[in-house]
Amino acid sequence: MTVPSVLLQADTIPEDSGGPYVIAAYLVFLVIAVVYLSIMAQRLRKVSKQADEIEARLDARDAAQAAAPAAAAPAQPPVADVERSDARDEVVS
Amino acid sequence: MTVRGLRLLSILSVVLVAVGFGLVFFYAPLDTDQGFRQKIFYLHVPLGIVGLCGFIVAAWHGFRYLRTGDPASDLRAYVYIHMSQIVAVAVLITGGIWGKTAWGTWWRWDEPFLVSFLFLFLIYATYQVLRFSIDDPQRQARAASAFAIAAGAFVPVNFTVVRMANQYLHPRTLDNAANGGLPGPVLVTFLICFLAIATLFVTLVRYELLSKSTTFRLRSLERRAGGDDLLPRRSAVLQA
Amino acid sequence: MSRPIGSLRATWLVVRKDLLLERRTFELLPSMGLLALGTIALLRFALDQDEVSGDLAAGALLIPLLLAALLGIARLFAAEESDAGVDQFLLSPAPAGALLAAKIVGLFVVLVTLEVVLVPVFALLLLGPSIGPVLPEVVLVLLLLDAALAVIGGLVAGLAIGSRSRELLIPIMVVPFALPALISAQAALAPVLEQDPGALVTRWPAVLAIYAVILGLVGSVVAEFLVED
Repeated sequence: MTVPSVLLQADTIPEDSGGPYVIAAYLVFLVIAVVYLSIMAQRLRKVSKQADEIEARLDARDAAQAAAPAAAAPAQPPVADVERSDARDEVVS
Repeated sequence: MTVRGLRLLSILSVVLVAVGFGLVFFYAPLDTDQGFRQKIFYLHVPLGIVGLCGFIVAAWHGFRYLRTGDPASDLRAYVYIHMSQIVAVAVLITGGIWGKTAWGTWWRWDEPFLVSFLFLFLIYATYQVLRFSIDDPQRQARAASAFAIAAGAFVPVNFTVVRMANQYLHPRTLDNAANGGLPGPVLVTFLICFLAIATLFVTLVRYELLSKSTTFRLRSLERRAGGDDLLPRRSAVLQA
Repeated sequence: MSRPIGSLRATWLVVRKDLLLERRTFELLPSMGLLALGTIALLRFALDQDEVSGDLAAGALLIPLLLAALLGIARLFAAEESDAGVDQFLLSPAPAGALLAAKIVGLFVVLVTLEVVLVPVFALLLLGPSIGPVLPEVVLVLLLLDAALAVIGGLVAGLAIGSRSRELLIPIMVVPFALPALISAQAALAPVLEQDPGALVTRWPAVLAIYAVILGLVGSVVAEFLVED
């Protein structure tokens, strides 16, 4: 419980001096900053993980194509398609 | 900046904010005149300064975009303005709280700092409207950069004029902090809070930039997967 | 291939074209005048004053002017927009910045013309003290204000050239950019309109002039990027 401890330890917080407003401002700021940071971090982690995965698969596909240029159409596309629909949702949200 | 570096930066900014706020409540002395309510000063003023710097930096990136045509500069200008807009709203809210606690009203027209921020808010609120009402991506980036420069030039003029008008219309006898300088503990707390909020601002800007550039990377990978890598190059912000 | 054309000459040609167009069609100035007159009538009742002086008079003169200026700014590139005029201008050998400069000069001329009619009407309808003794001060302040508004208008209309929602965007951008200019003009005019000729504080006209110059410099930096395909 942050508010009471702050209220107890800070020297004096008279009501008429606007103490609650000031504390509320600091708390709201802190909460918004932390929540925002963690949302951004999570989103970033997801998107970059997806990007890494797709890139790895694409590289694998390209390597396979390079290794067997004479082979017929490679069978990778479905993998990429699945990833793509996931990625779309993520970016929109 | 890498994801790891960004994680360190965010931990640093959370720690700094925690230390700064701790100092505000447990170290900084109570103001003799204003008492507890003066403590909003450690949030309000750093936010204001950081927001202003953000707008000026955005103007600089807008200028760089016009000089070089590099979409990354336009993206930076966009992100800086976006973040400073949020900060400007926070400045208005904390200023309102200060006014409410100090004078019992949420708004006073003779507070030049607040009034200037209101005008800045009004100007920058049109940035996205302008930006996203232009379809052509290059033209969009050019107009947005020109706007960032013009509004950046507006920032100092706005502050000067509002302050002058205020002195002229409502001469004030007392100007706190300006006479005699700040006492040591107050100064230390203020500087740490300023550093904390500046670091937090930079962290948030970095997050936005990295998340946008990662999104671009994902898009281009999608195109590579779909085999249509021939799409025309678009403006960085439009894609995001 | 025609020979290259100087900025000044190109600016002058566009200004002359726009003013000629306005003289032939005569649609913008009457609209601006009517809006300003209507606003003066509105202010009479909004303020509930038969005659105003000082602070109120300055405001009651500046608000109609700003609204009329908004109309003019919204129409600044009307001729160019209707038939790809910007593209045609770019095909000409004239430097791109000249178009913006011409629009600023044209707007300045239009605003001054409007005031030649509006100020006497305002003095007749709403102003308490006689305007005669303070006319030079009023003219000076209004000319500087017109310069600032013209630069703001040119810049904002230039920014909005490629925009879909121009008519929405221009007013909301002009008003905040005009705030410092209006504050200065208000502070300069308020004591003057108490009919005190010596009351003009020189710093306010100076601020107006400096603001116009600063935005003018910004305009000259960005003009070539705004007037482009």
